[in-house]
Amino acid sequence: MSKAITSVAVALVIFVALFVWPLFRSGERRLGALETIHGIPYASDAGRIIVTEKLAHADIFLREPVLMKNLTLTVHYIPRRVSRLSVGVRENSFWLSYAPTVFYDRSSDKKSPEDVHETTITIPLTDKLQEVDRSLDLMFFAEPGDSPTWDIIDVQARVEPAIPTYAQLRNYIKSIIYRERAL
Amino acid sequence: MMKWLSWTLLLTTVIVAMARWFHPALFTTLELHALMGLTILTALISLMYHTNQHG
Repeated sequence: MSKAITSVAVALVIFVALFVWPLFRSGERRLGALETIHGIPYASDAGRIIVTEKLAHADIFLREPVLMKNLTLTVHYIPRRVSRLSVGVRENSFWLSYAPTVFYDRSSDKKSPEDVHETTITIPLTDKLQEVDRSLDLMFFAEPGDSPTWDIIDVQARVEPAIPTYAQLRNYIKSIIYRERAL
Repeated sequence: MMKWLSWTLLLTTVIVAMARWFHPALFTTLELHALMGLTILTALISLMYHTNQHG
């Protein structure tokens, strides 16, 4: 009997260790191609991606669960004909469930719109939607909505361990419990 | 000892498989397959040892 209890306890310890170990991992993660919302990749010229629509989507391929993670994005870009740029990570099954973070605002920009800008944005990931292959949906939003043009030179995505808030943790648990799954 | 270890690993594999059913992003297929492989390996070693002991 005691052997059975020890067996269950050890199995649970191995399970928790396997789950907890990736939570402390950090590093750069691969970004997919930058596409329109219809899945058509944006054109690139001399190493720059020219974004000509309001929305630009890319996948970030994580190697761990989103729990206790922050995403740090470093974006090199040329704003050209946009007044505001923001970025967000998809939060739930609705296709446009993003809470965008503004990283460029022309009214407070001291540089020329034709200069290369560099911005670092940190996004908490715990309450974000993670696909079954562990990827996340990243979306850039440009304003004004009609005929914006801006260039992306480079986007670097890093994940770092972070302590989530109570609300983020609650949303993470809810997303696992209420996820639609095949029986 | 090997028999106990193979039962423990089998139990771990079942728990991990259940967690993956809840959300596939919690564990990778590779982790699940590695656990399955380790379980089969320890079960085979345990069986060989048992066979040697009893004839």
